[in-house]
Amino acid sequence: MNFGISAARALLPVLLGGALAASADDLCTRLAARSGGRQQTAAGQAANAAPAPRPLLVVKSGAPISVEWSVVNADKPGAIRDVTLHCFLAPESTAGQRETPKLGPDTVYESALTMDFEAKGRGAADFVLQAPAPGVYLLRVETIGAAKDHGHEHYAAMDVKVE
Amino acid sequence: MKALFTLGLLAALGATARAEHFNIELVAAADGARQTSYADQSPPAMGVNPRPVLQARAGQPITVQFIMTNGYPHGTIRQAGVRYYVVREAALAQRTLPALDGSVVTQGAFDLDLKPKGRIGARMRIVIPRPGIYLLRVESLRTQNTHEHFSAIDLQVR
Repeated sequence: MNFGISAARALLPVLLGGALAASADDLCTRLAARSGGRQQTAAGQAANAAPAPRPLLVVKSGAPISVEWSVVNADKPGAIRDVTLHCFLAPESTAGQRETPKLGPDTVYESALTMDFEAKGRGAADFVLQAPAPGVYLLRVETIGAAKDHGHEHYAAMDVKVE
Repeated sequence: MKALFTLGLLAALGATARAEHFNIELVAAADGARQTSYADQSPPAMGVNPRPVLQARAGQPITVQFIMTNGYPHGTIRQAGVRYYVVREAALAQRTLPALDGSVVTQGAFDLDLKPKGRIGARMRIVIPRPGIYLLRVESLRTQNTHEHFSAIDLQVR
């Protein structure tokens, strides 16, 4: 079964590169997703700041969604230790809702990894999802535990509407 | 609640305590059946342990979860990786690695600085539309060792 994974993944580094150039954050968090010729990128933000509007990616149920995220300790001279990088795609009630949905059995995808961020340290992932049943979903990558050394958490998120 | 769910994903590591550079627990479940696989190493490419076989139905969800823990105690490995995939293979217990080409159902990869006891985990639902034999595999990459670690399950989709 060919979901066109290779072609879909090829453009994501270009998308992320553009997003990186537009940011000056010291714990750069980026998220990009692409499906069926449509693409969205979400710049990261500090969790203690007012939330920015989320991009909306519209996809077809069953279609492949190529996702790429990265978190880079761009300038911080000291290490940020014991950080969990958490990513998920989970159903939400409406696009743009303020509350982060609770994760449970209907969570489509979830991943987590732990690492220490030395200066220039980078954690990243790229993966392909099968778009789930029609509905609205939140795709989000976030740090957990960065606040201990960094003062706050970071995240990047977008809404995914599956038709 | 979200954090608890994440901790739940990672808390299952206790079941994988083995004297390996990587402890791995890979679980696949469908239609009430469940198979679990633990760490093997390459070379050889397909390791030495027999792979469990999960029976599944085409078009029905298969839940996949893996958790890997770095057991290498001698410092952080910069820009190591973990990769997972589901790809069609020719036969159950096949001894050669299938090419990651157009028959890939899903795949993903992580890049990270791998510290001692560092963990990587993921949980997802996949659907395989067509009957056949598929290889589900998660593997370490670039660990600067003489070998890599992996865990694998064969999926027999009817």
